[in-house]
Amino acid sequence: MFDFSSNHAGTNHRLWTFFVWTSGILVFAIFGLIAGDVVWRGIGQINLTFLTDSPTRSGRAGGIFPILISTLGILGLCLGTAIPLSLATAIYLHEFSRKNGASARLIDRSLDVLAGVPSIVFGLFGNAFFAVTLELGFSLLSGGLTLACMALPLMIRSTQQGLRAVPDSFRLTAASLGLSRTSTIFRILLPAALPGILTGIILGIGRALAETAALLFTSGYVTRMPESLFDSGRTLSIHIYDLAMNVPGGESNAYGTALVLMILIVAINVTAGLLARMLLGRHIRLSFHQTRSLS
Amino acid sequence: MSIDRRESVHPIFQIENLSIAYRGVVALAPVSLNLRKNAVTALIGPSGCGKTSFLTALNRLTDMIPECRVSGRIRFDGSDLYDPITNVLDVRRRIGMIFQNPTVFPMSIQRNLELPLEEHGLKDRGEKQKRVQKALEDAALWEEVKDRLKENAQSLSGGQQQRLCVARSLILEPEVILMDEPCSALDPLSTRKIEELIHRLRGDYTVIVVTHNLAQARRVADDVAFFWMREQTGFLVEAGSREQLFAQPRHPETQSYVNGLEG
Ligand SMILES: Nc1ncnc2c1ncn2[C@@H]1O[C@H](COP(=O)(O)OP(=O)(O)OP(=O)(O)O)[C@@H](O)[C@H]1O
Ligand SMILES: [Mg+2]
Repeated sequence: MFDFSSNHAGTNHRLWTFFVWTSGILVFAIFGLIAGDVVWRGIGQINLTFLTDSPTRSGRAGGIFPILISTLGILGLCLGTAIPLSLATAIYLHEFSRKNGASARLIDRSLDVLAGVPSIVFGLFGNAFFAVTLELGFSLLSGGLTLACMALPLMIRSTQQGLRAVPDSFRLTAASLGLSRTSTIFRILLPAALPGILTGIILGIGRALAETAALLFTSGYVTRMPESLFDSGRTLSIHIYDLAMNVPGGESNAYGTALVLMILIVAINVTAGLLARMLLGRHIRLSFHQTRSLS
Repeated sequence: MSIDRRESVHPIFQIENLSIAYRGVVALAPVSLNLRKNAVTALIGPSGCGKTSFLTALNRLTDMIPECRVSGRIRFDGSDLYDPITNVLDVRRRIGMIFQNPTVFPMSIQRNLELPLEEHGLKDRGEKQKRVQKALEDAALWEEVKDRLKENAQSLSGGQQQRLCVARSLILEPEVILMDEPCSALDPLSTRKIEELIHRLRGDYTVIVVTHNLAQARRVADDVAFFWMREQTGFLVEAGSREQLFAQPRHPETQSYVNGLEG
């Protein structure tokens, strides 16, 4: 029995408020502490030459230019393969395969498993398959493709969710206008699923930029400037790891690199957000409209 | 069953034993019916008697529903609609459809209209422009939107969106327009605009309109087909001219439905 007249509800309410607020503050404090620490210790390292010079003395001195280039190269490769593959898979799963058909279930299940595999295992696989079997060696290519395998489940799932959010009436209306399957997908469904697709890409980028373990086995960790995609190269995350763990006196440059990485991630997020707002203002209005007409 | 003596006047749809089942459960028992060309036919009957199913079988939108089976035969303009060699996309261009809830795509008013045109092979800009204006004029929407063609179509009111849907069907120069309760989500004023539209389409287009509103059926229809259902299965009770069906229904079900709901 509820007894609203008693003080219970009031005490409970205050307790909850306290809990919710402290949790919020705690989360913010942790973020603030980490970001603050990185900014505080890294800001002194960053200047133009840090960004444009090669590292010297194992990274204790000099800059991170080749590492920045390797990172962008690997990221580009990862997205270049993962985006088309994930779109194609999600479109197959959501628009073509029969719901609960054998192939769809198999792919779905595989994706769930894949999403839970630790990155070190991806590294071993990438090494065995891309580096050795396909003879790509330790290279940006091996690293980028391995990261693509890791990002794939995330990106497929988000695209599926994006497609699921497109009302069926869009498909029926498009069909009633004599639009082919292909036009319906490219002109109507994918644009409408863009929020989900972008979310997936951002998550994928986050996962790729954060990765170290899988890359140690695949793209390697030389600090040289890569001359082609078949060259080995080191990413920002690996650089941070190496400087912090293996190079005495590398700490300040580790922080400098960490700050660059953070700025890169924030920049990508903000850009994606702006892009999304530009492209999708209309979709937000769409969902508002539908909610309204339902009530 | 065929519509009153007038069947000799070019039926555009000749329907023989059309039956529709979902997951093996028959939703519509075999229907045989001719629909006259360039006339307005209203489909009336209680909820769940298969009017929407019947309508969507006419442009093969039923193909989109995996659990749906259509049997029997439909001749559209003389040729078998369900023949494997029939070009479905072309059939759907020739047979437009308006849904109960208007669905405009999240793009500009103009793009909404150009998209189906381009799909069916029209690339010329000037020609597209002309067709856009004509379709909007035919749908009685031009005056309201001529200065905002670049605006998002979803910023239109519900009634305007429905008329945009009509324009989007008309722009493909169809021969038939199927309408599934086109006014049920609209206010009286927008409803009147759609009804006036149906009046203007009569004679040039074949219109087949599902409606729950008997007064509307009386106002817009030349012919009326009355569906009923028994134990979850819908069937056609009778079809005839508006005068005949409303004034001298042959079946008691029709009589009570027509009078009961009028009451
Ligand atoms: N996609 C579907 N899957 C399974 N059953 C369906 C489906 N669509 C319709 N039905 C069934 O078929 C029967 C006829 O439905 P239909 O929508 O054609 O009726 P209706 O006359 O248009 O009704 P209303 O006036 O409510 O729109 C109903 O019993 C319905 O439950
Ligand atoms: Mg219906």
